[in-house]
Amino acid sequence: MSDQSKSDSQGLTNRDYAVDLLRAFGGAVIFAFPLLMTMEMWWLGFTMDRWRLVLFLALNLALLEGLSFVAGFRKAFSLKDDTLDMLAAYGVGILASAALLLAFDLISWGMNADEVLGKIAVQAVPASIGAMAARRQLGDSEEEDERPDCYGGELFLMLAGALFLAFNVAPTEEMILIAYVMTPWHAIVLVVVSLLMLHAFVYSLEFSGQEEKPGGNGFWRTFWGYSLAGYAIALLVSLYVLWTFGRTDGVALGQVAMMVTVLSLPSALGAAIARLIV
Amino acid sequence: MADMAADHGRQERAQGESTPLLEWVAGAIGAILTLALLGFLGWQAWTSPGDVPPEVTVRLEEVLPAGEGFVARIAAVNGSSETAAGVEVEGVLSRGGEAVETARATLDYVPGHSEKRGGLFFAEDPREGDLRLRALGYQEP
Repeated sequence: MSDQSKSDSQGLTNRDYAVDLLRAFGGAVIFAFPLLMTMEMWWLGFTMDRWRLVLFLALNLALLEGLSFVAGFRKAFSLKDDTLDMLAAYGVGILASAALLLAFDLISWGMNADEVLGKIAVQAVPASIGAMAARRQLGDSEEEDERPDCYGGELFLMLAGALFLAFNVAPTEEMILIAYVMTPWHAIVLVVVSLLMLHAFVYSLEFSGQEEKPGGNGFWRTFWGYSLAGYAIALLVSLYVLWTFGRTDGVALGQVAMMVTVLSLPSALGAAIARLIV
Repeated sequence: MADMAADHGRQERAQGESTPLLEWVAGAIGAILTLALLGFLGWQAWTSPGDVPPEVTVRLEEVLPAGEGFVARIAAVNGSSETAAGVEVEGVLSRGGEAVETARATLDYVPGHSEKRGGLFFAEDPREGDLRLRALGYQEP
């Protein structure tokens, strides 16, 4: 791996890097196996619109690059190192997905290349996020408390968390089935519940430390700047993921709104606990 | 971790009391989107006609050669607000008033006020003759 020689300049030995890669594989498997064992994900590999798939993969690369920057395991941030981390995570994601799909006999030599590549490409997305997160979660704890010191970084982490959890449940038929069964009244209640849950998590996880502020202003500032902003991210991410998986094609706006509402519950939770998972 | 977060918050406070503009903007976008969604869902709830059955009609999109026969691409349109599941669609091809061929397909879901596509296979060309398309039945989701 050419990455190894580059890592030396950061004070990492080849052995450290190899251990790191193993951790990345572990993370990839842990994050990806629920989706590797979801049949809708196998179908998406060959039914998904190819342009949407390309866009999705490109956005995943941007997400990994950002995660490497915000939550990366090296102290010295640089475009070169973040890009190498991004590529390593994606590579690990692809290899881990391919290995497990082969083990499940979901891909085999006789299969059409389009189907095989599609299946691996879709599964590599959660696996690569897992690979990136693992280096931080399973790695040495000394840099654990590194956090982005800007508001934009916090929003980015919320986006990553929302995308990850939304992606975990969005392929299943249950998401659209719930939307079809629910009435708009149920959906309204769900919006309020999602927003309150998001706020409860954000506030109790001391996301921003705002509650230290005397006078109680912190509560509303957190609600406005983190919970409402986080819910907006959850809604947009949900809509994007549903569109990517072709769930919105030919569907009326009213039903799309219901699907987005249903999916934004996991998205909002993902945004809220982003700090814990990535 | 918690202490770090608190420290971080205090540091930020010490640096400047005012809320950054981005925070206002992001919050405002959140407020607008959330209120828009609630408003839209509320309007949907208000105008919803209650317990009505789905009304699925089937439309022919195009006929293409497929393998040794033909495929009639169809779209099932639901005119009601209720979603229909497991919609069975049938196409009967007749010539001179006599049915020559029948094809059936099942669509998993046809959501309210939406359309879903499918196809019916025929050995004979459906363009020559009279093709009647209709939905046979559904299941509540």
